[in-house]
Amino acid sequence: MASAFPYEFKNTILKVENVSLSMGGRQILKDVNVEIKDVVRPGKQQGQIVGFLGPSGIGKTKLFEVLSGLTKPDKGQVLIGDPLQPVEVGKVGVVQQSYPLFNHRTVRGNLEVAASKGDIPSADRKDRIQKMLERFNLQDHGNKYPAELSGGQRQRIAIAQQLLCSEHFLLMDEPFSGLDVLMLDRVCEMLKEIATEHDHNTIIVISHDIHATASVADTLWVMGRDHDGNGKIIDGSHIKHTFNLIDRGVCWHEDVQSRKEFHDLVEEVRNLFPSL
Amino acid sequence: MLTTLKNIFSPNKTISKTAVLLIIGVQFAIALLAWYATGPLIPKPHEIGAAFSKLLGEGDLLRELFVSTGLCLEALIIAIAISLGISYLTVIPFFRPPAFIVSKGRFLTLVGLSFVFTLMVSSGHGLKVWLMVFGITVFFVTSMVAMIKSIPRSEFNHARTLRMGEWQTVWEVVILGKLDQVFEITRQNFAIAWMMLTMVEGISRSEGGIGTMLLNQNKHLHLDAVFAIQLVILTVGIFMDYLIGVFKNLFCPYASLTLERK
Repeated sequence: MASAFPYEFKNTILKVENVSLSMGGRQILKDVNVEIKDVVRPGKQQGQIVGFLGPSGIGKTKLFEVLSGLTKPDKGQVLIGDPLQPVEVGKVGVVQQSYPLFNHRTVRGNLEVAASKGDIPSADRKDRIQKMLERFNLQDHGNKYPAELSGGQRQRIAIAQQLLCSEHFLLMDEPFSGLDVLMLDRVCEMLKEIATEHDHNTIIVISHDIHATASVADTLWVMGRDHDGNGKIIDGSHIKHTFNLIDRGVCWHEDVQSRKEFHDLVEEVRNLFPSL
Repeated sequence: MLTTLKNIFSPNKTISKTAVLLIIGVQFAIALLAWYATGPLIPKPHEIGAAFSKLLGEGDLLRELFVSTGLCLEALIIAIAISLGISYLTVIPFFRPPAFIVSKGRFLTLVGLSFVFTLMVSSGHGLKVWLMVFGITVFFVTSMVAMIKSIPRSEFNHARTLRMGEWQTVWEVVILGKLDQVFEITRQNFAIAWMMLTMVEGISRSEGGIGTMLLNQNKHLHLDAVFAIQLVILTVGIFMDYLIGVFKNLFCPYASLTLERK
């Protein structure tokens, strides 16, 4: 199905080339190939949200570490930016599953240390931090320590830190994990907002939550492993299925979750999981 | 009232300050009764009180206490400086084996090392200081290295993703990030140092000190004085422990925010 919204894919802004990774003698990733292209919508500021889906234990977190530059693959490479360059730690904003923060610093202190490592001129930092606190509805929590915050608030601080420090890429490991329904909606809205703030903003979500990821993404990659003739799993995950959600008409709609096409897509992906 | 009583004897319950005071009062009364119920060998509180007054007036208790506290703090400061250096350097693989060896030194006895230390230092004071420094360092390094090793990779990765270099990551995650735990380790090691004091002061009695005083009273079987000195040692130890706790809360107010029992 063609999209109801005109768009076109432009330059490649992230490329995963034949990435393989083994750990402890076990193949985790095998020949992972992915290409994220800059989505352009005429008259609209539109970044990208892409999702990597797969059941637990499939190697999503390892792929997350490779994409962020934290782990070097045994084979292949990750290229990022425009023009493409090999990924390095710090080029991609990374929000880990446990939302680690500097517990010895206040919320404002956490943002200050992130801003000091970013490209923000020192004269503008205070202002940017204040704006960031307001934007994430954390203006009353600036002087609190991370231990005094809820899980949702910690997540927002972790995102704010990365937005202050990195450029246009935000990589998130299981951002929907452990959130209640209300918080889940808020996080989805927040991701969509960030994606529309700049044409080059790209959010990469790694998750096992099909419904939430599909509700924000424009492209989905489903990770899985192959099976031998006897049905035994062959180690080494790779991309088994790709879904262009724009063409399927389940992207950029206000009420995407109420559309039949969306439910069909979620069901289709869910049905793939047992065979992965 | 019934609920309070029930909570006092239930696991993982938080109880009010009044209930804590009540528990302490009851337990203190039981201990006092048990004390008076013992035979004539153990001196009674009023005898200990009298011995304490005597030591204070005639025996230079305060001077000896001052000497011992000074010795202990001097050794503690030197030991902390050395231990932190050794421990923090374990972030570099080259320095891990020395830290491993130092931590194994806790299985050695100080008495067996006193001769070696005597040859190395020129004074009785120096001997005591360095014996204590050794005694504290081996335990301090063990705790510090274990603490550094237990820092999850996600904390290091968090700093790295914020474009921090490896040295800045060490500064932010290991040194600043775990300062509260350094205070906690210091607290435990002060107790070890305080316990070693009497033994060290027994090895070299030239300067006196509360340990020497205790050993002298023990030799003459002045049990009331021995108990009085023990109580002084205990009180000062608890006070110093409290003081380190105060410093911890002052410098690391975030440390106790998530604790159930503060």
